[in-house]
Amino acid sequence: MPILARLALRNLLRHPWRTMATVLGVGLGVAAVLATLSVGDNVEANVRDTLQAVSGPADLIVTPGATGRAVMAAAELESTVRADPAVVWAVPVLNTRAEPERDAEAVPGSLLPGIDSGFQLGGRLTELDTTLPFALSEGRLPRAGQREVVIAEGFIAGRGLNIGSTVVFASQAGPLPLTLVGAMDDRVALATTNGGRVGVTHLQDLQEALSLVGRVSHLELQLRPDADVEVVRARLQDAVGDAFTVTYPAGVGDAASGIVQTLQAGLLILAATLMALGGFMAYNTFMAGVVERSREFALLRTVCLRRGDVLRLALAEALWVSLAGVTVGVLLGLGLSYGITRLNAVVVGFEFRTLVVPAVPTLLAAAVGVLVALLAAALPARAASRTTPLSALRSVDDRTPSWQVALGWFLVALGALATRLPWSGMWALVGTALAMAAFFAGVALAGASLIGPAARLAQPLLVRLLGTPGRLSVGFTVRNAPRNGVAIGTVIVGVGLIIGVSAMVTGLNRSIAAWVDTTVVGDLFVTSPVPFAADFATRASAVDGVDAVSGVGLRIVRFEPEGVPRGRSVVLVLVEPERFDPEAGFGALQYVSGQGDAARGFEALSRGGAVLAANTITDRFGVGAGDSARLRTDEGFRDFQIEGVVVDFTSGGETFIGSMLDLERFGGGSPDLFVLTVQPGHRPSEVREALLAAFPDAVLDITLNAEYRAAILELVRRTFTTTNMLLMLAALIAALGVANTLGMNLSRRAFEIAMLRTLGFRRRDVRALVLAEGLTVLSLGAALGVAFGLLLADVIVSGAEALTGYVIAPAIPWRLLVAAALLTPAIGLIASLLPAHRASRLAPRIALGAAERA
Amino acid sequence: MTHAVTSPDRRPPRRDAHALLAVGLHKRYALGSATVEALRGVDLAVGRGEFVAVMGASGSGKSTLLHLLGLLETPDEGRVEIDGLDTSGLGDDALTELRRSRLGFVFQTFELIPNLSARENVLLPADMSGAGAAGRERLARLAAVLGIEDRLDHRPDQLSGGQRQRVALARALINDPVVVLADEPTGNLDSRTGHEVLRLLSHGVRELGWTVVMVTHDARAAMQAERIVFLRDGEVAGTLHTSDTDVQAVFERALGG
Ligand SMILES: Nc1ncnc2c1ncn2[C@@H]1O[C@H](COP(=O)(O)OP(=O)(O)OP(=O)(O)O)[C@@H](O)[C@H]1O
Ligand SMILES: [Mg+2]
Repeated sequence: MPILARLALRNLLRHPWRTMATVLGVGLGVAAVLATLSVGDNVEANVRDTLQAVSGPADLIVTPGATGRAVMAAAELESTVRADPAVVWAVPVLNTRAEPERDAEAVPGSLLPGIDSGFQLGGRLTELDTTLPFALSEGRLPRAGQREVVIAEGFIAGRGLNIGSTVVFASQAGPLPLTLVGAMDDRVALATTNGGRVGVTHLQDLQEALSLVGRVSHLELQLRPDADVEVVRARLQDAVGDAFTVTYPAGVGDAASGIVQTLQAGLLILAATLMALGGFMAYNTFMAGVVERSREFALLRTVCLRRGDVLRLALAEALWVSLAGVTVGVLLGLGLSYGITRLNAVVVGFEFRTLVVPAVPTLLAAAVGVLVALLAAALPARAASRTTPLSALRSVDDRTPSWQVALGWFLVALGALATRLPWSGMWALVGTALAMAAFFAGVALAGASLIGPAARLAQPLLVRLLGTPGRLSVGFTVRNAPRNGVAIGTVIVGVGLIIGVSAMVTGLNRSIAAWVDTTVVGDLFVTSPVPFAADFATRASAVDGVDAVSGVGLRIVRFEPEGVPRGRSVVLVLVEPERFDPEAGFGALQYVSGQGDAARGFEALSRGGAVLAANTITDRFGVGAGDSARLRTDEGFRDFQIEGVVVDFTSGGETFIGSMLDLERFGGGSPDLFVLTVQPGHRPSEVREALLAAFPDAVLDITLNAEYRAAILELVRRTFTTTNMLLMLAALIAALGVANTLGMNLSRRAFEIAMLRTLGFRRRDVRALVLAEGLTVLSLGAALGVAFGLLLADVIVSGAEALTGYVIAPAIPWRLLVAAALLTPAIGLIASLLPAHRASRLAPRIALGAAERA
Repeated sequence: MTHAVTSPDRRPPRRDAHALLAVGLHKRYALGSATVEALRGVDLAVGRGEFVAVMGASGSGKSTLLHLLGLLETPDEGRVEIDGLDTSGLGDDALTELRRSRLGFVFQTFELIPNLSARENVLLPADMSGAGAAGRERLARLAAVLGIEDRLDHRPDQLSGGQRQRVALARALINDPVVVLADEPTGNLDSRTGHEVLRLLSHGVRELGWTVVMVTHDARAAMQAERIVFLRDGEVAGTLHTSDTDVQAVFERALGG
């Protein structure tokens, strides 16, 4: 190893704790960036894996054109497909939602409509056992005409079912009794999907039971091993025509993408800031190292090192730190990515299967880490290389030149100004970055001039609390001003960031709550894992206490905005127009001003063939009221006039609202959800009981309004757990920065402290001295940080709006504000405990000797 | 920055020149509004293999002179020649390269790098000037002469003061310098260890051809040199050859000037 690299390494190892803190600072930044960048890949990989598992050995599948829900006639399609020489086999599959009988209480399902499909019962040609996407762990396969079923083994155990017994399924055609003849191995393919809520019966039996003879959900195809799958796919697509889609098993649907994109975008701001904070922290430490070792640098300059050599030595240290930081960061980042993906799995309702390590994001995060560490080291390295050989022999007190103080205040003003400018769209991100960078640099430079007045202001209190050490600490704090300035900068950025982001999160929560208040109107929400019977609405209206009944259809459809080549999957909410009659309906929507109103919306829904767009759609794809949206229907793509823009947070905001009149265009079937109101004088919970009693055969999940709201808000809260985790990391980095600074102040003043010890300072007096310094620095940082955070909130909110497409009104998180103002000094105190302890342990003699040599 | 003389590292030593030649050195420091004239026209010639001591009252300019000779500072007037090479106007890199190839430094406070072993400390200048292999050979001999062979793998804080100074001396000599400059090398040592170090220095000068310029307050230390130069108020106040005098005379001269 070259001598400079070795020397650099030794220097780092000399202060293992400090080095670890720096490595952790850089590592946390890298981790945050990596996690944010790789979440998308992970969610996608998991969804793809799930879809792959569902279709087992099939290479391609053929589905109905518009949505995956409709069934199609199989016979003709099968013969068309089989005619292709590359197709080895083509088997029909019919899937349906059918709930095995269960006890009275409802099973809590996922809230995101259209994704959780309840128990999935598949009809397959079980005699063709090589085509089956599952393995048996027990029993045998169902036979045709015997009304038999196999179910995932975990589900069997969970429900206490026995092989040989009869399981009654609630289906769209009424009760369907099937004999359980086998258990599917939970570890492979189909049984690993849908939470293990899967069963397979013979295709013919299911078709008969559902009165769907000859109809299937999709065809699964296996191709010859030597076939070029893409070529065959294109050829088959031509053969079957536009009414069907030939696709890869994993290519079905990407419903999760909108939500993930929203989440990812929000996190990106945070990740970038964490990286910056890690950089500040590294800067802080490197500067500490240079200041501390100025004597050593001077000696090296005297004996053998040129300026360039010193520069390289300092940069070599940065390189070591960044290498370690990147290693730690990548590991941490993958852990974080795992956590976030798992969280998404819960929120979005897919299964967590694999953790992918995407190459590009990993390399990117690593490169950012190295770059930030080197940037952070640039100034300190320059300072080190400027050490003159003789500076060692004279002790020069570090003082900030007045032009730097002036520049600092200028930057602070610039940063404050940057938060006030009306940044719009993606520029808001630039504004956020600019404001934070300017503010930090400004405070780091000018902070020194603030410390004097602040310390003197604090003096009476400190003297009162701590006596003589309190008084002396003022001098200490002032003399360490340049370094304390950097610490204050770190605290300000940390606190400011936390406040700013929280204001955004609080604002978003409020906006969602407001949306829930306006939109989630109705007393009862009825869903069922089994399709509703056609006459459900009529029969429900007759139940005592029920007032209005309004159906809602939920479809995932393909939306092709201009300039987005393959289009996107969006959620289409189909509603009954009457509910939104401004005169007589009980529903309401929150229209974006200037983009339609309730009357126009009602007119459009009553007419059909038109939609309302969520504001996110408008922000992301630039379409608004008066434009049209291309949506894929059963008859192919069709333009729908957008008659209004409404606030909507469903499915990450990528949502259209259409009319129930268009249900047949989107696969037909029955509504997925009914919204009910209760007649005056009736209690919703009683009506719920009445409904359950009135439909003894149907499997109904009935949620009260309050429960539904709480569940939505809970979902939002869970989504922000990640954000909060990252914020906590920010606080941690800031605390490390403070401990670091105090530690370095200490090594600069070791000699003085030794003198004080000699002159009669007790250990606890020394401790008090160091703690007082920490307290002053932290309180100043916290006060300024709170102010900065409030300024920053607006920019962060605009940035978040630009990234997520949500419209957010910033809200001041008062509780957090107070907590930050009080907790920061407390955290700082804890952070300064270690340096204080170390200081108090300095024996007078040793410290004197150290100062002499240092 | 670098002058015509780009790589002093590789120039062969000139046998005919003085090891060190200072002509008319002036050095002024601004102290607030006042100016301190630390040196006012000092001439000094040091031949190869000479051991010169510099004495004088506190503030007389001894350290300043040593800094100028060591190319750590540039004179306001006058010039310093090392090994016949005029150093005026050389850039920082060229000066550094001269320092590490032609000069050795020994300080009162040893100034070893705390996180390098004794061996690594000694070899650092050799490694930096790309003479690692030659350095390692010299280290073996120097360690034997200085009696630190069994201490080479210790860190500085595991060494006694005398051992540290001997390691520092080895570091000063590792690149076979033209001159070793020592500023009160015994100032931090007790008289016995100090004497030991001085004995090593004069042994090196006599037997191994080292050239040493040493600043000292100690008349007995100065007696180890061949020549003593007295400074007063930034000027050379006289010279004594130790063969012509005794400790008492030196002591009085240093005190009273
Ligand atoms: N960097 C400086 N700035 C201002 N004045 C200086 C500086 N260096 C030295 N001086 C002044 O120059 C004069 C000579 O100082 P120098 O350090 O050379 O004395 P010295 O002979 O080594 O003294 P001592 O025996 O106490 O070490 C003194 O008056 C000193 O105050
Ligand atoms: Mg001196």
